[in-house]
Amino acid sequence: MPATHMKAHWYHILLALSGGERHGLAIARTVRESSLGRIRLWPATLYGSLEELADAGWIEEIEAARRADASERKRYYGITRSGRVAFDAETRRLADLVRLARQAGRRQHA
Amino acid sequence: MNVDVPRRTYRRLLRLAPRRLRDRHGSEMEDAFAETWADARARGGLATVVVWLRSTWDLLHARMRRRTRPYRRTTRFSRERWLVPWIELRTALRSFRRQKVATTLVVTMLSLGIAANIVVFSLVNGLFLRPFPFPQPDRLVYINEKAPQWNLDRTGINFPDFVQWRTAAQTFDSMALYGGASFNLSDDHGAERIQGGTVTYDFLKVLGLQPLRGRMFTPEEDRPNAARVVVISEGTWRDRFGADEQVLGKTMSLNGRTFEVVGVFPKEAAFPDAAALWVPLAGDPNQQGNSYSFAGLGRLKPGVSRDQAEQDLLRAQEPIWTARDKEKVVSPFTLPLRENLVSEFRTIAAALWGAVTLLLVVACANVAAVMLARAIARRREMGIRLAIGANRFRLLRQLFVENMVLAIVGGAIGVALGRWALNVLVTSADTALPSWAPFGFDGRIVGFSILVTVATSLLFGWAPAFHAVKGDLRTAMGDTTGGGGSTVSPRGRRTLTWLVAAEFTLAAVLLAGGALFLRAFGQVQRVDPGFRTDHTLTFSLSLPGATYSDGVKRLAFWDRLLGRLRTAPGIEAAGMITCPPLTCHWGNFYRIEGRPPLKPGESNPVVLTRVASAGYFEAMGIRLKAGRSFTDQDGRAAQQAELAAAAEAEKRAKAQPAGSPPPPPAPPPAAARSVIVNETFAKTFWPGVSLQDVVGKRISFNSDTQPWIDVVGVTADVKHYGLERPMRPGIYFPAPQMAGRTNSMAVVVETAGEAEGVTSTVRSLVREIDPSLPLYRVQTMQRMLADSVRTRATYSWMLAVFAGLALVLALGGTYGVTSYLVTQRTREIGIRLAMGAQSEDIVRSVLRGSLVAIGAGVVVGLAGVLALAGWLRDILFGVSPRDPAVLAGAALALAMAAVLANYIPARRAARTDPMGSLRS
Repeated sequence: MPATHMKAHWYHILLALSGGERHGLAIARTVRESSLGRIRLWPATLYGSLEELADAGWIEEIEAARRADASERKRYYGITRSGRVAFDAETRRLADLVRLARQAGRRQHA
Repeated sequence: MNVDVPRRTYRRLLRLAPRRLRDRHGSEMEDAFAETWADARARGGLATVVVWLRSTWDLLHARMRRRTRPYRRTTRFSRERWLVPWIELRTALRSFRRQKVATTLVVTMLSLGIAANIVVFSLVNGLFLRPFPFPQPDRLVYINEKAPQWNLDRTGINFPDFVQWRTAAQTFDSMALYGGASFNLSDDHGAERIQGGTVTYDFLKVLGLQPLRGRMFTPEEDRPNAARVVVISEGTWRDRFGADEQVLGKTMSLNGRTFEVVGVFPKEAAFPDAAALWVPLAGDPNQQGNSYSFAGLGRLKPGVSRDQAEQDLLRAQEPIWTARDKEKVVSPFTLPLRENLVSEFRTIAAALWGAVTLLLVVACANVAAVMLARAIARRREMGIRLAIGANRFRLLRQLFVENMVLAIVGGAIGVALGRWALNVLVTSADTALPSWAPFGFDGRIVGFSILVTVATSLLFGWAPAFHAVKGDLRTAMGDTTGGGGSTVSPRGRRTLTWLVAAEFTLAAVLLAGGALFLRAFGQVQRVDPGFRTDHTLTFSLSLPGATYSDGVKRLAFWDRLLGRLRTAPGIEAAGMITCPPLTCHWGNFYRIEGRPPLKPGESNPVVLTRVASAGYFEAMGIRLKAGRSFTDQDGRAAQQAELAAAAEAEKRAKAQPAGSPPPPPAPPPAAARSVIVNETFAKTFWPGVSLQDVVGKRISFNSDTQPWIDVVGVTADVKHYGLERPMRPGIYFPAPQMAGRTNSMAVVVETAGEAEGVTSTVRSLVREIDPSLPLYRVQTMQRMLADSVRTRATYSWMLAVFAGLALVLALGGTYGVTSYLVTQRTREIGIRLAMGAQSEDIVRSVLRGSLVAIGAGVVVGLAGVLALAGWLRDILFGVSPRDPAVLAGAALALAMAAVLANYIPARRAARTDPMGSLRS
């Protein structure tokens, strides 16, 4: 289990992108839905995180995915291989934590 | 609302964002914002506000984050970097968050010091610095007359003198008189007592003001028995007439007579203070006799100095001296107007400002000590940063930003605190402060606050900056002996210790000063007022001339009222007097039987003259020292005789054929007349005679035809002019003997229970006898006494508070510095403990270092107080600043506090685990 955790914002962005390529606004919308409205990514935080994830190599800008009907200024992002690896690692870590928590709970009631 | 406006605003807001983010994603961010905003707009107004706030925060946050972790592709020197020190700001905030206690301490100390400064500056500003609201106020002077031979530095102005000056003086543009007057104002709701004034027709001209509505009096109206016109104040116009535009022409019933409102004065025309309305002064230039009762204002011609004007007045007075005052007993004088209004506050204001500046310096010294300690702790860090090529300028900027943030936060809190404290002070000081002085917040105060904030930031910033930047690498690195932070250089330790010593010096000055002032206040309160303070109620009544036209009617009223009061439940004794203690003054001169007439230049002290009823001394609790008190019979014979003589004279006048000259006034008829004198009178005019022997002596008014009056009793002195001022010779006449002076009296009752409890009884009794009479100045003597010392109480307590603050600050400072120094010496202490030192040795060694310096500081401080002794003497009311008890007490308190504050860290040092400290 990796010792350090991933920032919640990053995790949700990667989660949103694991379903496919999206542009910034769509990512924000997906994150809001998947977190049931609790995480609202404001513009600077959103795009700042996207830049940071790009620097870390976990997401990349997709040139070809610009739809013809969409306006020029939208940038599309997709998750990279290393991003997927990091995402899976974090998912496993969280799952382990949940498992441990459930075990402890059962031991309590036993 | 057009959706473009918020988007465009957001675009402008985007300038806060890091440039790269803006360049690459600007339009997308706008789209995101627009969506969020539309969403919020649907949810309501509050949501939109939240959106704006969070968007702004979002951008700022991104900017701060970005600045410390630059993008790989960022440019090296972006234009914005050195304008706003974002990195330094973030580092400063981070270090504050890590050391919450130290930061809170620093901010608290700064805000206390700044708040105190703002309060005192506002007071000084309101009293001394704010310009007067009159055009060319430096040309205005206050005029009055003085008579040193009568022990009067102000007598009041005699109207004929004023007329003479007006004619003869050449350096004045205009001159006016004003006086105080009270009125019974009656309307449909009842009657009440109103404070007002009398003014001459050119009063507004002197001040350079225009009436708000209507006009000023004409010279024709300013004559005796002229038209009954009145001018009201701005406050009265708003409160009583609801700022009615049709107020001119309305009438008011004053003292039973109808007056027509002809004008409204602006609120700046507050002479006398707190007057609600004015009637014409209506002075009689041909008045018989001298009556000194008014004050004057003059506007000098341009370019004339006040000395020239005073010389001019003295020259104009010459004919008067020649005619009736050959010894030049009374002479006019002038004062700058502001001087007259604030002179009593000058010393106090200066003392307070000195105290509060000291407090601020202590606060800054404290902060400097704390910051210096932190800076020294970071010397290693600074040394390393310098070694690897950090810009010294950047380091200094870091410290500067830290200081400025602390100063700004401390300043903001201090300003808010100061405003609150000022409000509390002004509301509670109330009548002690003059009503014309504005103590509100204005531009000067804001400017002053900023100045103080910047100054304090610089003041406490120099020490750490000095030490940090001067540190060179080798000493910085060399001081570290294997970890555990850098030890303190001897120079650093010395600076810290002397900072603390300086704080104690200042705290000593404030503490000793505060103790002296409180002691002086205690002394004042212990002065025997000469009358009973508890269970004593007083109220005043004024009988209008229309219904109470002669002495008989007036005395009948008073006799009836006093009789009813004496039998009323809850009242033990009742009496009345013209001027109760701590109120008005009426003076006169008397001849002593058997004395040769006064030589020119010989002093003739003015005597406080009062008219009292039988039972007054008992009601007021004034002690009799010899002879007896007034009985109901005193003065009745004289009254009867005078009535008879007056009837005779009237009959004779009627019998005279018309056109023949009136007969000369007959001398007062012989009859027993009595008077009671006070102790000062007895000692002044019969020095060396025992009080018992004074009884039976005779005095008379200052004229050959006046009859002799027997002294029937001698009372103890009453502190009529206040607990702090000396008493003059005083006498009391029985009321029937001076029925002409009984139109306005203060009634005094001794109550069985709480004094306030009988107020309603008293009111209903008065209402039964005459419902049209308003009671006024209803209060207990206790309250009157407390009010009279309110100014002194206020500033004494302010000083005490400052002293307490200074002590707390000094204690905090020495505790902090010693704790810090001890932490730095952990290794050394560990070694000493391991080598066999006892804990007492450690404690002693720690204490010795700081206490020596503190002791020196306290000695210097107390020496300073001694040096100020002469300057403070007059406001300390007899408490000598060289009082050893106070000085020793202050020294002891400081010493004990210092030992306590240092003992705790010293004990902590002694408990160091030697092995742990060596290992670390």
